[in-house]
Amino acid sequence: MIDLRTTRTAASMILVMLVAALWRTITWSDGSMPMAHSGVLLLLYVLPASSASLVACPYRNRRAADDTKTRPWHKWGRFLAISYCGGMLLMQGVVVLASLGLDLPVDLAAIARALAVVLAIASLLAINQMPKLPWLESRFSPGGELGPIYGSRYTRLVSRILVVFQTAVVACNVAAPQTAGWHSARYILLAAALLVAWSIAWRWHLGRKWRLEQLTMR
Amino acid sequence: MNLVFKALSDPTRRRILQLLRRRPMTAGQIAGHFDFAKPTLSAHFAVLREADLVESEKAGTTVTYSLKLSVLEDALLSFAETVGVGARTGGGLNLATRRGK
Repeated sequence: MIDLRTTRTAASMILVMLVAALWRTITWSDGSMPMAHSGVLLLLYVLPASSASLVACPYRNRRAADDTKTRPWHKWGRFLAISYCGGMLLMQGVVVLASLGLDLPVDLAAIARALAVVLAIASLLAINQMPKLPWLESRFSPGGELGPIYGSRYTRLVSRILVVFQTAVVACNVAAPQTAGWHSARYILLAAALLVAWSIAWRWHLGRKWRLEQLTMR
Repeated sequence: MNLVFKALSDPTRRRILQLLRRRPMTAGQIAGHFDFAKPTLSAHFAVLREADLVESEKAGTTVTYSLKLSVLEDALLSFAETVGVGARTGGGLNLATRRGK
């Protein structure tokens, strides 16, 4: 759950990222970018898309509750949204610079990896606190409601797996050799997609269990 | 963090947290798993609340406790449980726990 002010700030950052991506797409048609870097163009759109999904999903996703329950969510959402979108904006800048093919004295891939590590650490801090937040039912809830028991259990398990994933991202970026370049990004994106699919399936399963329990109680 | 370590160092408090892992429970339901006097358990609840590891919700005369562990605290709890931190000093308390229930 993210408040309106944070959403606006994050949305303006995403807009800047999209403008940069569009600008680079237009200038790319000049043939200034080598074909070997064509994956970079995709990355220019993946970065704002991932930021948008991170902001759009939690924004008003949780059903309204009393102020004592929504306040921790707002605080948590503000930290996550601003740090993630800010980090992604910086990353976008690095990707744009890399795509220009300028002869810069710095290794842009190394900077991107360092940024990925910082982003992962910020996300780790946010994910670590996730199970402490009060459970609020989602508006978008595949598999139906989870209730307070399965809801908290789902959050705990998802947070644990996300912590393992983010730790792997950090380890991968720290341990990857300098020559690896953008190679690891596709694996990280694939793993993230699989994680989303798994969490939806798990939610579905728990939702079914909760419904069955409710039926037996009646 | 000191409060968290203090809370997790006691086997009884860890047992309470393990019970709450399954579902939120009332103070009476938790007390049913132990042979302690209520004030002793209340002291344990107070330590857990102070460390922000549990959340209590009062409805009338019933107090319901639910788990409030971060991922790191959860990992620390599992670690303390595996290693058996404080099991020697708190052995008497540990024996009093009725695991059969």
